[in-house]
Amino acid sequence: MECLSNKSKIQNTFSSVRDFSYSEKRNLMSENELNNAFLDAMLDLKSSIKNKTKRIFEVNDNIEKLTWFNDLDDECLMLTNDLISAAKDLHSSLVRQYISLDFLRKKGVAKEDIKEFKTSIDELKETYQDLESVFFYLPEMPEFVETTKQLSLV
Amino acid sequence: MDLYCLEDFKVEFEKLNSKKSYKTIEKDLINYFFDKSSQELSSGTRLNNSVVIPYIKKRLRGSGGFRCYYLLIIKDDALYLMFVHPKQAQGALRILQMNPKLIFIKKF
Repeated sequence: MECLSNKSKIQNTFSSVRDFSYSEKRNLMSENELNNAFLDAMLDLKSSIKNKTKRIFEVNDNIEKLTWFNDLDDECLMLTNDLISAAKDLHSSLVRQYISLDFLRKKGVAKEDIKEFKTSIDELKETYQDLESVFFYLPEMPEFVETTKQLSLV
Repeated sequence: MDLYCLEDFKVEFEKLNSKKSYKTIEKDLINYFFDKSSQELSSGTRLNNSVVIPYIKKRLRGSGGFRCYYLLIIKDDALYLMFVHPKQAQGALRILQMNPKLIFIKKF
């Protein structure tokens, strides 16, 4: 009787160890999956930053090209003014995004991608400020306009 | 295309060229400006709204990035390099005070 009871206890212990071992092995796989999921998420993040950076550089190029337009009328200037305001707003949102990513950069995650993202944001600011200068500030400087005029006559 | 440069440009270029962190400047400028047509060089930000003598600010990538200001005299097929500064300008206040956008007025 006692022997049976011992056997049953051993079987129970064996069963619990086996279950535990199995579950740990399964958990180990889950951990691998977790690591893979983390790495996938990091790759997704890098790809998302890269795409966003590319889009910002495209916006910058398109804004820059507007400075080659000639004789804009009031309607076009008003639209340009709206564009400058929208670009300022976009810049603020992107700076907030950059700040939220900066802790990753400091930890060495997606370092180069985040650095390039920052460059694109800085250039966006520079580009809309230049656009504002070209159409709203520099034409209001008589000396600047006169110099261009004089040089055109040479 | 005939290329010329102003003294301001030369001074800034030599300062930058002597620094290790801006070592690519000479190569970057040669790559961008040499053997190019005026059409190819008509890009960047045109500051003075002129079709015949555009005054241009060009962002050049390279180590840290540079900003180059030049005047393109299209009918003479000539280009005047006016000023250059690094994007992350050391002595940024000095460059701000110089206001490269206005160097064009001061020099002509």
